[in-house]
Amino acid sequence: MMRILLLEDDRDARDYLVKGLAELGHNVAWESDGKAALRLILTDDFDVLILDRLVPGLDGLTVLRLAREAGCKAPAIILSAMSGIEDRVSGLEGGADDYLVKPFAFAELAARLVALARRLPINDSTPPQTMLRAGDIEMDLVRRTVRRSGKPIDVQPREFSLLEYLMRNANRVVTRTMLLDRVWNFGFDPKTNIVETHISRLRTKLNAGHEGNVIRVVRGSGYILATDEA
Amino acid sequence: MKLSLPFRSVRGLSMTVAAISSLVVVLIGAATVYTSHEEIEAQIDHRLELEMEALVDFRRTHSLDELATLVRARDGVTAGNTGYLADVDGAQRIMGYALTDKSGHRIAGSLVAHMPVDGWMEFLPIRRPDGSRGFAQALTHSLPDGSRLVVAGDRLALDKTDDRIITIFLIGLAAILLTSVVAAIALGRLVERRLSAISSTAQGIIDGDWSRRVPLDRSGSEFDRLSQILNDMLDRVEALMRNLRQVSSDIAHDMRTPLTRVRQQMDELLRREDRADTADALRRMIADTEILLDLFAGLLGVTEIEGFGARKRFRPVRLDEVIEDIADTYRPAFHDDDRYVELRLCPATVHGDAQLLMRAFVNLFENVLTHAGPRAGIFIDMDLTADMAIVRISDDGIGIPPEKSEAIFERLSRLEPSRGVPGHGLGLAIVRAVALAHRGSADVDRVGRGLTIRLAIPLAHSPLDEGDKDR
Repeated sequence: MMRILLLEDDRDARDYLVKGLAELGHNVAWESDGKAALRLILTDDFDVLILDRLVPGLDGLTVLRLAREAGCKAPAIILSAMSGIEDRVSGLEGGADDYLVKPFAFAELAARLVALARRLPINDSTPPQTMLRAGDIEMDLVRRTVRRSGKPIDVQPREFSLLEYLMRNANRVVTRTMLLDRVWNFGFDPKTNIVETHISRLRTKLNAGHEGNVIRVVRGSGYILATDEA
Repeated sequence: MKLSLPFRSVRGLSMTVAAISSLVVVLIGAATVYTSHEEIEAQIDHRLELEMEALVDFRRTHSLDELATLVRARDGVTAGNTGYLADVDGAQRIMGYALTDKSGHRIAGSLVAHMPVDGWMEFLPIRRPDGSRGFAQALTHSLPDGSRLVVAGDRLALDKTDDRIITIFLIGLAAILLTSVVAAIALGRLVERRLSAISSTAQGIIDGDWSRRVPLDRSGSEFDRLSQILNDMLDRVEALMRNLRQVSSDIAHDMRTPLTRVRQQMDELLRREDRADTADALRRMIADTEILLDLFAGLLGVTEIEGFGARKRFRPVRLDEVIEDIADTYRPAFHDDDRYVELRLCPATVHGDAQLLMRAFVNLFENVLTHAGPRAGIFIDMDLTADMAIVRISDDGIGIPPEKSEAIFERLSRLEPSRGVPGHGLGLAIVRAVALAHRGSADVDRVGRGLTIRLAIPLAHSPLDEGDKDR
């Protein structure tokens, strides 16, 4: 359960998000005005901020910048109605941790919230990881090798990054656009099925000699790397 | 009126003017020399006549010996008994005399010449006191007593005058030629500079950069007035275009809001729907709504790229690495279909935006996958010119009809009439918009077997780039 601040002035969109987030068990506070939202951020303690860019009062980006200047460290997702390559850059440069272009499927936002929340506990004193483990899959980040049940698996560089992202988010839904964004660094949606192609190749390599499917498709949402203990 | 070719260029026109003025100078010079020559000659003749008359008159009242004495005196007055007399009032007009008796014996005068026949002789060979040879104009008269008198004027003075006039005209001619050439070059430069400013602006606009304007120097010259009028016209055209684009953007934008709501509501319904068939129907509806939303997002995307807002984010980008990266992404999809991906790249740093360039190449790969037909492979090859990276993207697919070479770059252009192939016809429109945003170009290079698209992107630190910083 996370305590979430939602800044959104469009009533329909707000209701839709509040309802959806509440269904996921989150505690949501909302505001429709930038200034009021900033006041709330500075007096209350939130785990995640979801800020729409174009709202009355202060726009979402300014709210975030002022909040950051006041010491707020909560991860933030910026929502934008603009097709915005421009917006994405200024959003991420303005201190946002993620950026979502409207309209988006609710599942998209939900998956990103989980990914954001997971990044929370990392602080500067944590030594950088050199090994990743998910179930019987092991990844050596230094040697850039992958093993499953001790047996080496030959993966291409792109597949390695893809698997790394899936393993870091093991047992959590990862959407197609999240993968395009993080693995391919596409700040745009190419409307292509290259993600599917790469996932299916990676899956074939991982599944070879094993029972079951390690990368599962979550209908209408994305993919999940499922480990046995989950 | 149609002018012949040399008049049409500034340089040709200036040269023609220079040639005509030179010709005029030469004609005036020739006429001046001719008339002054004739005039001086007539004056010399007149003098010789007067002199002859005076001497003949003198003989009527005096003896031949007295005439001989007078002639000798005339001959010897000034030039130190050189026998060669400078005329009293015209220092340059040198006169000579000769007097013979009836037996043809020289009795006076030292004009070195054979005695000519009576009357005028225009070119009498003489030897001057300094030994030089020359010609004189001579009038010869036989006196009643059988003696003969020659009065001659050296033509040297006449020749000198001619030379002097010709020299003056030659100097004038040289001055006119020099001025004309300098003026022609200066005028040519001026006109060329202004015209090239206008044509480079026009080229920029043809390349899609509507922000370009003809530079003015506020001199109020004809060129400045013309440039101002062109700029006013461009402002007007740009406003109209912006208006048109704004309208289409507004439509796309306004359609998105209700569609988004519909989509959200279906999403909500789906989440609480238990029956599988209804859930499936909802998913299909959501998928259709998403196609519409994607289309509008794509249209807005093209408009945004065409607004060139990305230019302020431009920095050096390795174009070959971008292509390599996208090719890596597409290789599995191509290989799964038995299509080849072949690259022939060279290192090239362009001034641009990596995201936009990635997007352009994603669209080019997608275009081959979706539209070039089954088994069509892709070959990307790269060349560098002085200031451009030229990338040719070729496929060996079904190609396009040649007359569609421009149409494929238009928004919502689709060659398949059935519309059964996925996509909304924005792929190449985005490619071109990205190229234009980079001050480059995207065109069909060749149609035939497959399709080759030629992409030109200015290299970083190219002259084009430098010009940009000044503005």
